[in-house]
Amino acid sequence: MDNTLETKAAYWEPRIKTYGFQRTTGLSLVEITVRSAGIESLGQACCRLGDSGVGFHLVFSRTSSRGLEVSLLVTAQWAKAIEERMQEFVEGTDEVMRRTSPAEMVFFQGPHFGDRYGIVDTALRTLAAKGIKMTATACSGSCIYIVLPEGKSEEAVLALSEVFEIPKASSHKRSMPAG
Amino acid sequence: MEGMKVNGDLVLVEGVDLPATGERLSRFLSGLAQTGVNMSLFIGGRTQEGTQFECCVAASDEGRVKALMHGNPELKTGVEFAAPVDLLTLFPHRFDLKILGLGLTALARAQIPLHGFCSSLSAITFITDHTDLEKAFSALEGCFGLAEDAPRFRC
Repeated sequence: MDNTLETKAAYWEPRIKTYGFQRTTGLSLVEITVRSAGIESLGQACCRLGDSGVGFHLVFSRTSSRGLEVSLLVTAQWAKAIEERMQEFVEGTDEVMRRTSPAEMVFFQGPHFGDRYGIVDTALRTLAAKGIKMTATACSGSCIYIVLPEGKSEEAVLALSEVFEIPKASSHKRSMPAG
Repeated sequence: MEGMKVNGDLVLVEGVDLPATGERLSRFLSGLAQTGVNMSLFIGGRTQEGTQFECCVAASDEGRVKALMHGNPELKTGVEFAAPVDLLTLFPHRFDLKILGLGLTALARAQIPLHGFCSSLSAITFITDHTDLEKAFSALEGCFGLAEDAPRFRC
């Protein structure tokens, strides 16, 4: 007989607390598809961009039937340099430069977000209820990033602020242009 | 580089939604929330083919996620368990493409398949097969020359 006693605790609150929403505008989302054989070359292209001082706001990738779908969210001024470098990388290979589109980002985190369930569900349901379509979402650790089409981040923050709690000292309108 | 964290004993779940609906993703996320399943990592995005997403959940939650999928016709197809995986997280504390590039190069040279990666405020996390954990750990450790006393967390 198993005498192990399991205790489970859940962190629950009627209105999910956040440390405030950070909105960034003036971004570009660069998307590229890479087969596994191309990952080393992609890594080298990223190294060269890094050496040139190119930074990013968010990078994420997931698998698909075509390979690794890589998305780089960068300050719009860097998009051209990245496109050119990536174009060199895809030339003569089966890799595909998918698109570059203007984007904005909403970032937020809150207490124990990394260990709690239901946060991203609440965020995406809130946006869907207002008819706001996210371009992408990435959650890692306690951070939640929502990538939106150009011009949609303010509306998104207003919608999220109706559902999530923000610190009184923090303005939910806090935003910064990229750069 | 401030050490490396390994988040193990996870399974990767992949899903694809129909274009312009988002219904499957919404049901999946709501189901996880209702059953109390946390995602260690979530990446989702819209493509021409629809919304594609992947997430990592604890292996101990696999039964609950499977029950959720089997009990919901919308999730029976289009969402599947892909592989047992680990998350290897580096903490560069800056948004540096070179660090990402070095990590990708090291993993590729060690012939470690990659299921994805994601940055956050201070970190970059790579999703690798659980069977490749030691190789992936060594590849990243060797690449970044982690000091002997650098923290290595395994959870």
